[in-house]
This record gives sequence, structure tokens and C-alpha cells, in this order.
Amino acid sequence: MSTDGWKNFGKYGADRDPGNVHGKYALGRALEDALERMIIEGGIKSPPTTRRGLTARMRYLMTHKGGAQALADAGITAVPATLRAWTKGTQRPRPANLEAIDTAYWNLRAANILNSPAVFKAHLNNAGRGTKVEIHPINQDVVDENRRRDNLRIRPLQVRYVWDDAVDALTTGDADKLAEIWDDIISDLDSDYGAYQYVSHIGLGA
Amino acid sequence: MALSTLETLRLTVAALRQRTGESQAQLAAGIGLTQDKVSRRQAGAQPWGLDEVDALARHWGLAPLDLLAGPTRAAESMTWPPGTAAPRQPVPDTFAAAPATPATAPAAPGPDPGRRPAPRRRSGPYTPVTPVPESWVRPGERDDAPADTAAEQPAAAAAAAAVQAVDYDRGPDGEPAEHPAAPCEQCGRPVRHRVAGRPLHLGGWCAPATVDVSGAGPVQAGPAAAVAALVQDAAPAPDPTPADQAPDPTPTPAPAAPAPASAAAPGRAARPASAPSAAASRSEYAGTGRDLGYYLDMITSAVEQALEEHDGDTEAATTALEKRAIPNGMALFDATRVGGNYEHTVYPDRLEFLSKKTRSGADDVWEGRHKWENTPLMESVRRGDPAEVAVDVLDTNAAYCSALKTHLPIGALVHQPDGGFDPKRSGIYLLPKRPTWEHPDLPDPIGNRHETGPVLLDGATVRLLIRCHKLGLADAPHITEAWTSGSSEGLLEKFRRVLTQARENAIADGDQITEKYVKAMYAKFASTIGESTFNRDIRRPDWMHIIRSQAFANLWYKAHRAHKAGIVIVRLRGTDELHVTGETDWRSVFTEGRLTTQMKLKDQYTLPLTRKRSA
Repeated sequence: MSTDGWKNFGKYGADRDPGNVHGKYALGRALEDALERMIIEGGIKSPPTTRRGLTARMRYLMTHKGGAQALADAGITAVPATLRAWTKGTQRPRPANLEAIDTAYWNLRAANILNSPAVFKAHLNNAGRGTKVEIHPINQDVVDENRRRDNLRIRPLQVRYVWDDAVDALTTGDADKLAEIWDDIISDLDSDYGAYQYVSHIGLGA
Repeated sequence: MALSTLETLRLTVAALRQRTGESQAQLAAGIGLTQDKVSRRQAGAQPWGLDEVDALARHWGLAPLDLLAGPTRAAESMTWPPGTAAPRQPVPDTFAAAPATPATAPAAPGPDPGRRPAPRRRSGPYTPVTPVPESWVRPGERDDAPADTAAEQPAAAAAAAAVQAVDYDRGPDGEPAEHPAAPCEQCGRPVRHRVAGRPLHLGGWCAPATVDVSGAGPVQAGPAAAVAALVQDAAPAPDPTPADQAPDPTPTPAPAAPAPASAAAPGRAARPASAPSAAASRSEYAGTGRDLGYYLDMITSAVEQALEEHDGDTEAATTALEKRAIPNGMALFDATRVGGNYEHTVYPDRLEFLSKKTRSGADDVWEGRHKWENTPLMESVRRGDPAEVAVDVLDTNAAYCSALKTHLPIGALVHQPDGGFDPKRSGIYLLPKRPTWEHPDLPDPIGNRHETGPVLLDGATVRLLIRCHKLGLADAPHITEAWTSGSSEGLLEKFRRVLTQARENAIADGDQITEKYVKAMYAKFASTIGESTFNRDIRRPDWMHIIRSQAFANLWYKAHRAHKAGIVIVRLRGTDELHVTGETDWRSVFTEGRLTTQMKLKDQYTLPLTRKRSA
């Protein structure tokens, strides 16, 4: 049983499962998922068909920079008076326009969050508490039977101080930096940390 | 399953050794072997020799052929101790009923030593392998009627108080006095202590007597009855507890209808809510003997702190507590998992069918929510056959709290392309078509689903379908694909007990703040452990589905229970509503009250509804 890293990943068949990847890719994917959750689940919950949902979307689009452009991009051609009436709730848009308003809202929200990584960093730093990371080890069913590691299990740990760099690496697409960060993260595990260089999945509590 | 002669012999030796109370070393000394030789023979590593069989037979004073004829026969013809007559009770019936190696001997490999023994097939009702009775509970906590669902466990608080009066006879130093070993009046196994002067094992420690033991006094009706009978004998026992059992003038918080377990009634009724003796039971769940005080303090201290912060303004304190319910609930959950056997996965890889299709939409799993109406009854009412039907609307108390007791997958779900159901696993199951249901007077276990096509069900619903199959009501579910992980029913069990006990205490005290706080904790826990921004400590949508389905399944079980008692089910709604009518009073089946074991009368109306509306 080897507890050190993977000098030749795939020598004994670990790469037969495409889900077994280097931690840097899994970390990048986990960060993207967290970002998606932040955009979607942090958004307006009420559907646009309700008055509450419509007015909330209109208010967001009317008060945020780029709202008018987003509406135009989504195909809304209404005059400002109509937009104000929709915002106040005195007038209801047609279903096609409702759909377009929803699209405009989500596009704008996604763009705003993606363009301000500081928000995502603060979300992950969680006021100094950091984010919980759950490391799921590689799927060993595909590895040659006598070459399987018997010390792999799901490892939860709380990770701090790396998220600013991680988000920067994600936005610049710097895989080497992500690999460095991943090494940093798993070195908090015990002496067998090298076994988690490659993983099947990383879960983020964010 | 026919056992080989050697297996039968091993079983017989284990049973007789258990009957005589000998250790392997004592037996070995009696037949001229060493203990490890006996152990190896019993484990199947070596066979028993014919000479050794003779020695065994001589040792127990029976013919060699009787020894080979199986445990029952051998125990009947055994003379033990040497020179005495055969014992009254042949063999603990757990041995006779379960043809498997008893736990007293190490697990014996099957005939082929290279292979593991095949798993024991369950043909009849489950019988435990060990000689411990299946109603095994700690001494002093026996109850005649074991609770049959999770929600009914508090009923086991039961005979605890009554049984506490019985204790071993104690010497001046407070330790149980030791006497020469004599056969226990109940099970015949040697016992060194005395209960009210008689050799008896205390509580449920001996195997139940099943054969005629006439002349043995109060033993016929089993250990529980024997202990109950002893309560009267041992009335002047120097135990402080009987004082608490004096009838208390304070009215009980929930006036119970005729309680089914007569032994249970006095125990519970006599428990005053505020007496000092109640302190133990207030921090203990249903007489389990586990002190939950530490966890209950987490709840009470949060309430006290909130009240202090808001200068005693109950409304503001309640709002603040409800806002903290998710993080506090998760902290409580984590605290109850300290020392747990399993480490559960909190952020498993997302499965396609478990992710929501739209932001506010649902995912693909069908939870089996009920929206059912007794169509034949409704039609006959419309025809005016019974002109009027008076309906009682019953409400389950804290349905989601009770539903926390369910089989939850511990790890991440793993795809099983061949499907099938393994009771040790839980998760999500794919059925190629909706199971059919042909009982118009009983609710459909699947709930209100009209689509006949493929359906994804979770563990709780599948278990309900299997139960329906066992009851002969439906076909076994046909599962073609599954995503499962090894499951445990204990993951949330301590959490559930703490919340149930806190709720019970709050109701007894009339403490509405704590009650609302506890309600917010279990309700929000159940609704945010999936994909929720408000709870990032855990992301298990499969758990969320299973817990909800368990609540729906629990409601179905209640409906079925009422149906069996002759009550007509009119409607089944949502998580907790059961509309009933009929000649039989529902109070004969359910106890009315606010505890999780009881049902609450929420509303009453008369069918047909149109008449009511026009009136």
C-alpha cells in the first residue's frame, strides 16, 4: 500500500474511470458549481408569473447598471413608461415579454456576479470561517485489484485562506495555480495526503 | 434447510452449554479436552470425533444418539446436574426455531471450509439467533407491548416505573446479596441472586418460558407477568421509587383515552410534570435510559438567551429563534453525531435526477404525497345512500419529526444498473411503470400520481410498497435500476429523540416558545438539507426526499391501522391529515393528544359538503 502521491497516474488502471481526475480539475469544477449555486439560489425565488416575482425582477433590472441593456438584449422593446408600469405592478406584461424579463434578469444577475469575484471570494471566505470541503477519493473499482489503496475514504475538512487565490486562478484559467492550491489544501490531511491528489469529486459547502 | 450431523451437533452442544451455564473451559474439563479444542470444534475448524461424542453424552448423562438428534431432543433427555431428572424446560426456543449457529459459539463455516456460509434465509417470521429474547430491553424497563412504529416509542416509558420496585435482594452494603447458585424459576439457568427470596433473573434477562411449567408459581405468563406479579410481593421493598407512584392529584397534560396497555397507564399518569422525580424522565427519551440532558440544554439555553436578548418579549424571542433554527438545528444534529458509528457524506456528487430542473421547480423523484379520496364512499354519498356522513379530521402531531426515523443512505449514492432491493441499502429506485393499486377503500401508497410511466421512488416509498406486498395488498415493486448506498436508521435517531423529548417537555410545561422553536428546527432541517442556500452544512436531496416520503408513509400506516380496526378512511391529505368516519370510534385505535404517538382532532365536517355550503 502506498500512501504517497501518484507519480504515474493510470499505471495500474486508475485512469480507466474518466471520473477520476486531478484535484485541480475537481476543485475548478466544484468552484464553478458553487458559483452557479450562488447565482441561481441567491436569486429571486418567486417565479416571474407572480406579481412579487415580476416586480422584484423589474426592480433589479431598473436599479442595476446595465439593466436597460439587458432588457434590450432579451428583446424587450417597451417604452420607459411601460417599464415603470411593470415595475410598479400596475400593468402586466404579455407572456412573451414576461419570459424575456426573466431572461434579462438572470443574464444580468449572472453577469454581475461573474464580473465581481470579490463577492464570490467573500462568500467562500465566509467571514474568516472558510468553507467546508468534502473530498471523495478516486473510484478504485477500475484499479488493478492488488494495487488498490486501502486507506482512501471520504475526507471532510474546513479550508480557509486559499479562496482568494483559488477564485483568481479560476477566473484566469490558471490550472497550475489551482494544482498548487489543491496541494496546499490536501497537505492539511495526515501523512497520506498524497493519496488525494487525484479524486472523483469535491464537494464545497458553499 | 437440512443441517449436517456435525452442524446439528455443534448447535446441540452450544444449546446444552447454554442450558447448563457451563463455560467452554468447564465443558472441556468434563470431557477431557482443552478449551481451545472445544472452541475449534464448535467453530467448525475441526470435526467432533465419535469418541468425543461419547464423552459429551456421558458428560451430560444422555445417550449418544439423543445427543445427535438435535438440541430439542438432547435437552429433553439430558440429566443435569448428573444424577437429577431431566429439566422442565427443554431448550430456549430461540435455539429450536433458528437453525443457525448460536452466538455463544464463534460463527461456524458451512460444510465447505473454503466458502463463507450462505446468508440465513428468512422463511418464517424473524427469530433472533442469540438466546436473548427478542423483546430484549434493559432490566427494569420491560414493557408488555413493544411499540411498533417509531412514533409510538414514547409509549414504552410505560411499565418502567412499576418494574423499578423489583430489585435484587440487597445486603447491608447495598450490593446484591449472593447466594449459592440455584436454577432460575423462569429459565432454569443458574442465578446467584434472589428476588424477594426467590432465585430469578431480573427483568428480561432470561429466555421466555414456553413450555408448561405448572407448579412453578407466577411463571406461566412469561417474564413480564412474573415481574409484574412480583411487584405486589415486593411492595415493602426498601426502594425509594414507589413513593413517586402514589396517585398524583395534578391532572395529566393529555387526558388519555382508555390506554391499550394497562400496565403503561399508571406509570405515565402518575408522572407529575414538575415533580423532582420527573427530572430524569424529562431528560430521557421514552425510558431508554440514555440521558439527553446535554442536548436538551442546547435547546433550553438558546431559548433563555433569546428571551434575555429581547427582554422577555416572547414574540420577538420566538421570531429570533425561528431565524436561528437552521444553524442551531445543524449544530444540534452535529452534536448528536459525535461518537456515531458512521460518518455520513454531506456533499456527494450531484446526480442528474436529484438536481432541480428549474430554480424553484422540483426534481424527478416522486415522493408519494397523498391526495386521496374514498371514491366509492363519495359516490354513495352523492347518490344519497347514507344521507349524511360525519367526518373527523385527524392530524398527526409533528409528522416530519417522527419521519426523521428512516433508513437514510450514509454515503454517496452508487448506481446499480441491475436494480433490485437490498434492505441494507437505501437511495433512489427506478420503476419502469407505476405500481398498480386495486383497493378503492384504502389509500394508494404511491400517493396522487396519475402518470403510469416510469417513476423514480425513494427508499421510504419502496419500503412501504414492500410492506404492502407483505400484507398481500399489492405486487412487489419491480425495480430495474437503483442508486443506493449502505443505509442506517440511526443517523438522525438521536436528533429525533432530542427534538421529540424537548417538544414533549415544552407541551407539558405549556412553553410555547420552545415548542415553536423545536418545530422550526425539525421542519427547516427537513426542508433545507437538500439544495438550499440557507443551509450549506449539508447537501443531501436524497435525504430530504426520503424523510418526506417517510412522513407520507407513516400517514399511510396510520390509515391502514385505522382501516384494519374497521374505521372508514374518507380522505388522506398531505403529510398529516387523516379524515375518518364509521361506526368504530377512532379513539379506540389512536390516543387523542398532542404527543407524537397520539392524534389530534383538527376539524369535523359532514358529507356531502355542498349541503354544508348552502346551509
